[in-house]
Formats: sequence, structure tokens, C-alpha cells
Amino acid sequence: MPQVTLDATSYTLANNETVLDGLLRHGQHVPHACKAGACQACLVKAVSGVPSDKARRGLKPGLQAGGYALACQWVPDSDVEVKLPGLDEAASALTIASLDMLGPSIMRVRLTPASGSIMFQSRPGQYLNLINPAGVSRSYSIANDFDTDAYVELHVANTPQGLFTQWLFNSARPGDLVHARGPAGDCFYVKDDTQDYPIVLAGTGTGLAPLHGIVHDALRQRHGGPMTLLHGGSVPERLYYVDELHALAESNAGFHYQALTLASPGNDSRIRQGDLAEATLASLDPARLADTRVFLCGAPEFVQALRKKIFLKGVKSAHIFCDAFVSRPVAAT
Amino acid sequence: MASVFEQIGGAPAVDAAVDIFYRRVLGDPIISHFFDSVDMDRQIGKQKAFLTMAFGGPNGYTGKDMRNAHKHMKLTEEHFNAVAGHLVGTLEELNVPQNLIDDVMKIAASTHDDVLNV
Repeated sequence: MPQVTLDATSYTLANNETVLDGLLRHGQHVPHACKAGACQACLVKAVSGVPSDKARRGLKPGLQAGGYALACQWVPDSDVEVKLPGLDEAASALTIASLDMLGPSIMRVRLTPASGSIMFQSRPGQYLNLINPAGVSRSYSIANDFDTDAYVELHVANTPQGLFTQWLFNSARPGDLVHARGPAGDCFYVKDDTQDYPIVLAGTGTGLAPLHGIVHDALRQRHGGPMTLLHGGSVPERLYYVDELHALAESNAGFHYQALTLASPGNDSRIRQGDLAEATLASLDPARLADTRVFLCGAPEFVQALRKKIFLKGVKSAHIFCDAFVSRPVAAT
Repeated sequence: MASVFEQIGGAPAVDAAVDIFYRRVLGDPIISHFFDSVDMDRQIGKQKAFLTMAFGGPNGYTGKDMRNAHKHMKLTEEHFNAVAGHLVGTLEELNVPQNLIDDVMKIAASTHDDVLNV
């Protein structure tokens, strides 16, 4: 069995075991989150041994050339030595510019590049892996366009079991420093001058964040086709940006917005009671299925189930974009 | 003489076929439960690998892989024929000439024993 060496100690991997699983099994602290090759929290640098193609998939060319790999995707066939990247290695330093509440349990986080830090290129709808001063990491989707706003906006739901979330809600203050890796993900708007394709976007809870970014990006790039955004929550308190998105729909003829709740929407007549998945399927134009683009973000069960239904209805699989929202608990270093 | 894979249109043909094929398979109650995994990306990746192989294209499939992948699925002739039927249906939908369909089905038929583990 191959051995993996970390900090001058070697650990034997089990059959078909990843570098991450092996190190965790031996009690080593390695930051990780999704274990699916998406969030890039488990980035390691190969000191010796060449990472497999799979372990480098999705990494920027610079990181690939630097010998970095995703420990959760790397099953070595011979001995390897790795080291954990430092906080400022392969990451950008960002300062918390503001923290404010968008609803009873949803926080808006705005980040600006720390002085002297070089800002990465990003697209609204991609996600970043953030690392706090304690080394806890978590991925969040980008809700806005940095090039326009000069800050990065993220939406964070208050989840009691989330270590990063609890740090944000209880300890973080404007001026605090975080580090960000990425961005990654292919859930973003691509302008196509040859066709004005319809866009349907549906999200639950803070799954609105990437969709909010994508809608603004598409409007900014003068998308020609119709665009429908559906945002669902169990109760009205889980919805946010209702005023902003209504105003946006009123000032943009091609953009439609509907908020839905499973429970009674209360006094707000703009919110409809109903099932988000059904509403999304109903908003697909049967005559335009071949060129409709769909963006789905939020609770993984919702996204995966609806994605399949939309595909079976006739939308091309390559035209359905999902964020890599991950709800696994995140280990601290 | 160009290979079957080249004649059929190469990787773009696989891309065109995979959605049609996957949709047909998911819509067939005899076999849909084998494809019921929530991970659509992985499913589509597997379908593409299968179609590439059936089209005579470059692929990493070996008989042993085929055998291992299907070992625990308790498949019968009925399941094999259903998938083969959807493969033919997909190619017909794409207006692939009959002689090429015959070539593809010959390759697909060659996997019979490994898929059914006989």
C-alpha cells in the first residue's frame, strides 16, 4: 500500500483510499468540506509524487503547475509526500467590509481585497472557498459582480452546526481578514450573441445568492431572451431581496420574478404560496426547451431532483447549471 | 476506410446522442431504476463512456470493467435488450444510416456476456 508523508511522518493508505481520507483516518487535521472535488478546501501541495489528473481537475493552471492537488480526489499508486498550504499560499487576502442582516437568519457579507492583495478574476455565480483566521473553511457563492461593485457579496444562512457560519454570526467584525481560494464553478451567465435564449433560475434560501449575481450579470450584458427568477422558502422569513427583485422586474420588461413559500405567505401579496419545483417546471416555455438555460441553486435534494425532471421535460443536460452547494459539516484545522 | 466512430461523427455525435439515450433509458420502467442515482453528472459521464465504446471510439473499457460494473445488478436478457433497443432508437432518431447502426449494434452485442455475467 502506498504511504503518504505529511510533516515528516508517514501514514499507510488503505486500498483505494484518498490522501484526505487516509490522513483523517490517522488523526491528521486537514481542512476539507465537500469531499467531492468541488470546494477545493482540501488543497495540498505535492512535495514528491505526481498528483493524478483527477486530483488536479478544476484547479487553475497556476496551481496545477505548482504541484497542488485536491486531497479528496487523489488516490496515489505510489508513495507521496504532501504539505498543507499556508493561509496566504494560493489564496487571496480579503477584508470584511460589512456584515448586515437581510432577514432574521440571513447575513450579507461584503469583502474587499486587503491592501496589497491581488484580486482574482471571478464571475457572479461562481463560488469561493473562504478560510477564517482559525483555519476553518467553507464555500460560498458570489452574489454580485466584483468588477462593477469593487466588493464581493455573499449570503450566509445561520446554520447552528456550521463552524464558519457561527464564526461569522458570533465573532467576525468588519475589518477582520479572511483568505479566499478559487473562484471555481461553471454556474454563470455566458453571453451568446447568436441567440436570445430563455433563462429560468430557481433557488431555495441562500441559493438565491448565485442566481442574484447571474441575473444582474445577464441584465448588465443586455441578455435578449426572457428571464424568470423563482425564489422559494419554507416560510416568508427565509426569503430576502424581495423588494429589490420586484423593483428590478418592474424596470426590466424581459425579467420576471416570483417568490414562493410552502407555508402561508402572510400579508405580502407579492409572495405566492406554492411548490417551487412545480412552479419552475411550469415556467419552462414548451416551444423553447431546446435552447432554454436553467440555473438551479440551493438545497442539494431540491436541485438534484428538479434537475432530472427538467432534463426529462426536454432541456439539454448541458444547459442545466447547478451550483455545488455543499451542506456537509466542515472540519476545523 | 474511416472507423465507425469517425463515420458516425466522433465525440460530437456522442454528445448529441447522450441526452436522447439517457432520456429514453430514464423513461423506461423496465430499466429506469438502474439509472436512478441522484448524480446526473456521473450518470451522463458513464453513458458517454458507453456510447463512445459502442460507436467504436477510443475508450478505456475492458471486458473486466464491464463485468465488474454490472456484477451486482442481477441483469437479465430483458434488461440487456431494453438498453439495446434504446441504443437503436437513439441512432434512428439521429438519422444514422442503417449500415452504421448495424456496426454499432455488433459492438454492443459483444458486451452481452460481460454485462450479464454469463
